[in-house]
Amino acid sequence: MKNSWLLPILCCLILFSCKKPKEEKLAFMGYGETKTVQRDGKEIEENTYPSVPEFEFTNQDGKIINNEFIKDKIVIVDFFFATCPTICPVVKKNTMPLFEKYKDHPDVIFLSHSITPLLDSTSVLKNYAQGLGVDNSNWHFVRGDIEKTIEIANKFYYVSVIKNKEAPGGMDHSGFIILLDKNGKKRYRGKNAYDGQVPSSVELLMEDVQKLIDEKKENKS
Amino acid sequence: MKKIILLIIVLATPLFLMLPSCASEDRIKTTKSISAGKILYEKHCMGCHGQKGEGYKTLYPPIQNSDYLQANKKKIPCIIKKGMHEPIKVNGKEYKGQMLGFENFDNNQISYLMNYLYNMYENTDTAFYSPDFVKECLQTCE
Repeated sequence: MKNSWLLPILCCLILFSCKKPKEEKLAFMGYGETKTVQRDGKEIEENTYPSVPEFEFTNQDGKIINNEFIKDKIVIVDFFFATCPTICPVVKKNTMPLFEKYKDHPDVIFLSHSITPLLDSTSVLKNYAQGLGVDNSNWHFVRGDIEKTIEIANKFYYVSVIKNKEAPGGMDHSGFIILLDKNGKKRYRGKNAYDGQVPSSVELLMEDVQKLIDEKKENKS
Repeated sequence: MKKIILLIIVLATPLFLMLPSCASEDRIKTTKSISAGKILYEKHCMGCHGQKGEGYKTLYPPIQNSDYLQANKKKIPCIIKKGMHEPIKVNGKEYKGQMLGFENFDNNQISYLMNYLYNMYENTDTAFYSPDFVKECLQTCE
């Protein structure tokens, strides 16, 4: 029994090895940096990455959706139009499992910007939402000034939205989905943005939405 | 005598082989049109209506086994060309989504597409929708 101290040490080793390694946080998109600063004797992380600029659009129920509305929420953003025959239907179909999972989550919002607001009146957006089976208020199909929509798409979200007379609806756009954290900052896994046209990419997004939900909980506690 | 019979058989065989191909010239035309329609469908329609024309929820109506498609043959060229801007009922369900028209499509392309739509998967329609039929229908668009 000389080595009786070995057993407790072994137990400790096993216990610690079981401890879940801390998962890496999602990266921030855009130009900025994260610094650890001292405030009130506490170390906190502060970053200078850009937050969503001021915006104001109206949704399928005529309700105003702006910065205040999405404050403290995790937001899943994309660009579409109701009569789009190419990219949007694929993106919407791929996004559906994500919506099904988080449609009742109080911290998650889906935000789809119409890029043909002249065609997509409030009632067209309402019919579109109903057609997709979106019957609660968590998915907002919004419309507003086209120039402001193009500006926020290209300058902040980095989702290319361009007028093109040759394209259906007169607009060209990409099918990328952007993830905003509770501070309105763009987050991603690194290397690639989420491509709404690729189901595996939307699956990654689904995991990452959960990461942001957990991160929000951690920050609260 | 045997040699003559053999000669007749040898000479006649190619004729017999050619007969079926002559008889199905129309079928070849239809098949070609359906193939061209499939390419158009996959490029312009599949995103919404689905790979097999199955539709999606109550946003995009189905094309496969669609009672609307069967009952409105003369309206289809107009819908392809001018779009769909009012609610329709397909197989008992109401669809309120809108569709843009494909104004650039010519009568040939609409004819290809129609032949594909009426023959895709479980749709089996032996009729041939010619460019002339399309032209005639387009004159009646609302």
